[in-house]
Amino acid sequence: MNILIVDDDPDIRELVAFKLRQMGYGVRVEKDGEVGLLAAVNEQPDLILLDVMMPKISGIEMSRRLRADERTSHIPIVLITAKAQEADVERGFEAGANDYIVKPFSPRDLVARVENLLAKS
Amino acid sequence: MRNVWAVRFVTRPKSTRSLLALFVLSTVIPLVLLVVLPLQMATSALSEQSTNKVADTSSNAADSMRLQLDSLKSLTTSFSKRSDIIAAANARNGTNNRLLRDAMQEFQQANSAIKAALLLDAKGTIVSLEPYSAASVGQDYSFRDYFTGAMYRSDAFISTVFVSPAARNANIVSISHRVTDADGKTVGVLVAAVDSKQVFQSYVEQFQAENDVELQIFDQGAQVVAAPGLQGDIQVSRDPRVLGAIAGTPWSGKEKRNGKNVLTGYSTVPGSDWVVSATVSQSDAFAPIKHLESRVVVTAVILGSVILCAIALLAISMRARDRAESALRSSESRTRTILDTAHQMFVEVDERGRITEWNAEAEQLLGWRHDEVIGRDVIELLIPEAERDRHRKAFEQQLESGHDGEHRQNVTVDLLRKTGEAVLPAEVSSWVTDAEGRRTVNVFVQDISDRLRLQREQELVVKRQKALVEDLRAADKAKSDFISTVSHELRTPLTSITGYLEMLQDGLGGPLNENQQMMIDVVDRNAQRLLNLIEDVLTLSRLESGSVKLNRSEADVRSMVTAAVETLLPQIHNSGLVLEVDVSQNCGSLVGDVNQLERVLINVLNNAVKFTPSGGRLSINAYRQGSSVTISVSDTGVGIPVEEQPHLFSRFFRASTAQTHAVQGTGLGLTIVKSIVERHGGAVSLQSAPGVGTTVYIELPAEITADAPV
Repeated sequence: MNILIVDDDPDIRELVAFKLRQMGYGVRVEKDGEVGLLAAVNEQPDLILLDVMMPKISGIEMSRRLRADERTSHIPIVLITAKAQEADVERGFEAGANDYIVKPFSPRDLVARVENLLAKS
Repeated sequence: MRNVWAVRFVTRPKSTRSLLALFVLSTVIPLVLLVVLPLQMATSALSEQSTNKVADTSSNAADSMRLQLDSLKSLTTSFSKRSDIIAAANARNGTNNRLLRDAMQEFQQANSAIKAALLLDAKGTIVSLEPYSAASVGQDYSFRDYFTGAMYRSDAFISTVFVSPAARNANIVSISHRVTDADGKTVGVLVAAVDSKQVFQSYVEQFQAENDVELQIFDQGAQVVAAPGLQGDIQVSRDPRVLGAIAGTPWSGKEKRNGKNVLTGYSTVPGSDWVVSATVSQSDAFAPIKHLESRVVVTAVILGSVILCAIALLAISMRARDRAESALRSSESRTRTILDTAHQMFVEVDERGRITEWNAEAEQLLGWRHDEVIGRDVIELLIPEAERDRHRKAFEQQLESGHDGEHRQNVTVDLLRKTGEAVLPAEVSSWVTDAEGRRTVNVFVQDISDRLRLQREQELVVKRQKALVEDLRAADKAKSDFISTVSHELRTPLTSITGYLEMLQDGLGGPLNENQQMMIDVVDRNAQRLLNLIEDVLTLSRLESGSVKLNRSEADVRSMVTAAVETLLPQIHNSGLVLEVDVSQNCGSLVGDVNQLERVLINVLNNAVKFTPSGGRLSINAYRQGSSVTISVSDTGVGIPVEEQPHLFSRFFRASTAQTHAVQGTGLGLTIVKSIVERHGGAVSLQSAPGVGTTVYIELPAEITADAPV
């Protein structure tokens, strides 16, 4: 199983990648939305983890684009956000995200959600 | 100024009655004079004319009478000079003289009026007569006036009237003339006995028939010879005017005869001592005058009636006007009083813009006295120069188009004052009235300087307040934004810290020795503290900035209490505490944000757990009282000193007991509790004693009642 991680913060990126690799997933990381979108199309990952607060293209916008593109529209998306307010969560689901996790999060928790989503799909 | 008005209203005009009387006199008197004077003049003129006319008539009749008498006289005279008559008279024996008898017959028949012809001798004895009567010859007639009268005069004599038995008692007038011989010696008298009736009476009757004038003929003895309707014995007039006329003085004038006014003229018949009187009735004489009079009187009466009617109408209308004026005066007086006691300026303006009224308030506020402004141009006087054209246009427009009573409301103007000091800001309401074709603009002026000042001050205050509120809001928002941003920014690095700590503890970084494990635990505990602090700060910041809306729904009290208890049940057990929960049956539901209210209960219960030593007791009670629900959380914990209690709800305040007992906390829990409860319209209070315990009361309004009411 391959997972694409898109986050502008290298420490978070590496934390999540380290944990997922430990759990046996194939991981690809990208630092912003533009390259993230290309990778999603080219690599066809089984799941995408998206940070909401990113420069250039936000996680919300990227979710929308991924869902709009038929090559990526089937890939499950989990949003990572610092905002736990309902409005933000709602926007994320509207844009096409399947789940979300609020910073700071437990890596165990993250893995549980990822596994849960992949099992469903 | 008020006195002048008072006088004007108290003084009443001359009474209508005297005016009317004056009017009646001045119209009716000339009318009467107009009728009477010409009538009198006409009457007197006509009277004079009639009198003259009747005098003329009598005179003419007398002349006519003279002609008649003259012809008889000439006849008698001419026969008296005939030789056969003279001879017969001289001979005194002519009785059987055939010639004499022929002459006498001729004489008698010369005029049909001569009923008999007589020839007397110088001694008055009848010599001959015709129609002949033998018995009469030789009789003495010397006593007769026609004998004596003729004997001593050279011309013919006319006798008085007398009744002649010989002529079948006819009234006779004799014309006689003496007969003289060639030597001039009187030898006899020739007499013509004339039938008075035939000559004089018929003349009188004919004259009356033709001229409607009564003639009367009197002889020298004032005996009535002829008169209309004369019959019976011969009458003698004792009328002095008849006697006067016989004496040669004619008379004419008015008199009363048989109860009637008549005009009569008396004239002497020339060449005799007879008198002819002519009489016309005055009514006949004055008939034209009467006609004129009746016409004039009728006209005058009509004219008079019309004038009287007009006067009556005038009187009625004057009276009505008097009443209306009196009503108007009292209404004006009332209006005046109202205007002068009003606390608004009142100005009345005529069609040309001239001031006609100016009340006491206007005097006081604008400085001009009533008598200074009356007749002056209102715009020139009151409006600053730059504004005049605009106001003049508005004034004319209102005058042209403004209907009677239409208002022009609340126009704001600045008015000039007499003293020339700052203009007076005013609000003007005006309307046009149209009374008897006179258009007037009535203006009420309200001094609004106080109002404007107040308004300006208020505006300034409101502006300042708005600015202040705006500043505060901006500062508050900046603070909230800052806190929010900082809190978010803190989460990301914390994610790396707690994430790697978890992986280290999970052994993903390799096995840890005892010291490493202890250090990692301290780092983890403080990372959690930091995280709690960030959460609380963020929550409070959201609550206080109002960015979190209450998600109101029906909140069941029992469910909320249960949820809070379940959340904290592990800690309660771990701390070795006993919990009692007593939720009254009548609590039911209230309206509120369930999540936030649960957070409140969790915070309060969490405090109780943290500050109660092992073996202590906790209790939760919930009950409804009136329209509110109270939830209390009690513990047997360390308690809070009384002097610190007022600060418990302040941010970051931590009681001294918390620090003494090394209880962890952010100092924001109760601040958040208070904020949420107050947003629900409720209140939080607290009872506490150090070493005994603490009870926190949460009182919330129950907008929806359930179960049984209390």
